[in-house]
Amino acid sequence: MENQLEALTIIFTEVYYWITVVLMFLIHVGFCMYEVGASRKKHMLHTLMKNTMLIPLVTVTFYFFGWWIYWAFQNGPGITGGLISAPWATPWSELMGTHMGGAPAHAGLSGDDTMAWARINGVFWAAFLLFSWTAASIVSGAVIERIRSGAFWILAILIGSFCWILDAAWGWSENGWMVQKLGYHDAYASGVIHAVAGGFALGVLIHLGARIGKFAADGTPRIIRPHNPWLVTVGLFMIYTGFWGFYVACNIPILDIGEAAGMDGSFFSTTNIYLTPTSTSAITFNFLMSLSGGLMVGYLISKGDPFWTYSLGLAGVIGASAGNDLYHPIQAMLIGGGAAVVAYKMHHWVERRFRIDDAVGAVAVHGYAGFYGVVVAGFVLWGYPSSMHADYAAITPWGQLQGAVIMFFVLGFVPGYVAAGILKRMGRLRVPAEVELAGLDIGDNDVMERDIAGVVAAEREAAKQYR
Amino acid sequence: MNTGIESWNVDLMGIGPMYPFVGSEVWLAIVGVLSWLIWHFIQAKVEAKEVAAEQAEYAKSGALNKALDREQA
Repeated sequence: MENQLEALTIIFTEVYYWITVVLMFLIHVGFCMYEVGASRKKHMLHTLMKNTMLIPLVTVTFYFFGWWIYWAFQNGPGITGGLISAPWATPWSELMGTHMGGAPAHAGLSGDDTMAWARINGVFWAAFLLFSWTAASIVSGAVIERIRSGAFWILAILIGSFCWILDAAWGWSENGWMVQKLGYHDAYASGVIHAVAGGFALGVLIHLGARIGKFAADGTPRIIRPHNPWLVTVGLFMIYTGFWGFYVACNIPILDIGEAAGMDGSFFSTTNIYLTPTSTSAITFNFLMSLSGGLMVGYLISKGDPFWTYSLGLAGVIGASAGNDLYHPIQAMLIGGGAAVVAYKMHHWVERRFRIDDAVGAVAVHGYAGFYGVVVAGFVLWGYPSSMHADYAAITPWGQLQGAVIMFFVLGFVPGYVAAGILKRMGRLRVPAEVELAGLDIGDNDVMERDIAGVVAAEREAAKQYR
Repeated sequence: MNTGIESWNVDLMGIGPMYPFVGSEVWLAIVGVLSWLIWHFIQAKVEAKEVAAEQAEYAKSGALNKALDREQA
């Protein structure tokens, strides 16, 4: 980079995404705290390790094929065109490693490719990857206290490195076929992350079944108390904090969109992932107002229950996220409040009607609120252009409804249901009842009990000389 | 012996990939994917063995009640 302004723009963008990754790491810390707090003592370590180990597994698979899927599958393929060449995103690409942006060493890449991607590929990949962890982590909470770790990790890779990134290629990219044909708009991922992960979790839960004792014989659900409610709420606070990183990671921080708009000169702006204009200020207003709407309604509807109030604050943000690049803050607040109602009511109705044991309300907070958010954006943003490309479809209620169905059911529920069904038939999905009853940490607990007894005996022996 | 960069006193604009053994990327990808798959294979075997052992232990009379008592304590 010879020009200082060009260098500042590129290195600012590089550091910008790097900071989003660090912030989004807190989402995962929050999910771990939340899940461990929500589980009973006898399952704590298993719950922690189940979620922790999705980090390396989703990371390496996202390196091997997830990143390439995002760039190669934007046409379907087979809907608006074929597979797209993305030589910067294959695991054998020189741009998937340390690179200074000079002439490429390998055929298949151009000088323009290396200039454009050398300093941005790693941080952009990582920002998307952290979304992958979130998608898998959403599923993780729903299935605690009875799923086998190995089964969960296969499911985590499926949602984290395939389903969500395929839906991002289709509906969360400048030229995805859903943007072109349906006018799909989902700026901060109501559907792209939350509905797809919620739908996936629901498909898994149907095969996994409820925890022993969750339902009375007549189907009445029982509350299985978190062993540490404080850890649950701090975990949710941590997720809120990381969510700031998630929001800004959904933006391009500085881009000249003047030419795309048909202007004679430049117009530098922050844009969303569709490269249409927004601002960091706008999404800051709307994040906080939709969070507030969710919390206020959540407190009232749950009668001040801390677990649900915090969770419905999150549902508020998720419900408004599809359009939070454009909404007025008071619209965001009202939409967020509506999302809280949808998530809370749907959770309890589904739980009673179908005996679905969603241990942390993940399907409701992410799945139903995300679905609602995509549909609502179709009405509130009706007629807005979905893209800078004038020939792409505009935002409509029917385009958004189709998009919500694709996210929740086609790419979420169906793969989750099928994959969990296969694992169940192989006898690999759920731990045996004896192990579930004794606790998934029984091996560790037995060792701990034996060691505590041994240490106490040794201490008593040592204490004798002081008597 | 040199595995990559030989000098920084060059036209830096011309430097492309900087990691050692440029040209080995396909082999690295193959090794990486195999490592990931082998990890799952080993983990599945270990988990199945552990779960079977725990199931056998807690199928014994009294062991399960002891574990449940421990949870309530």
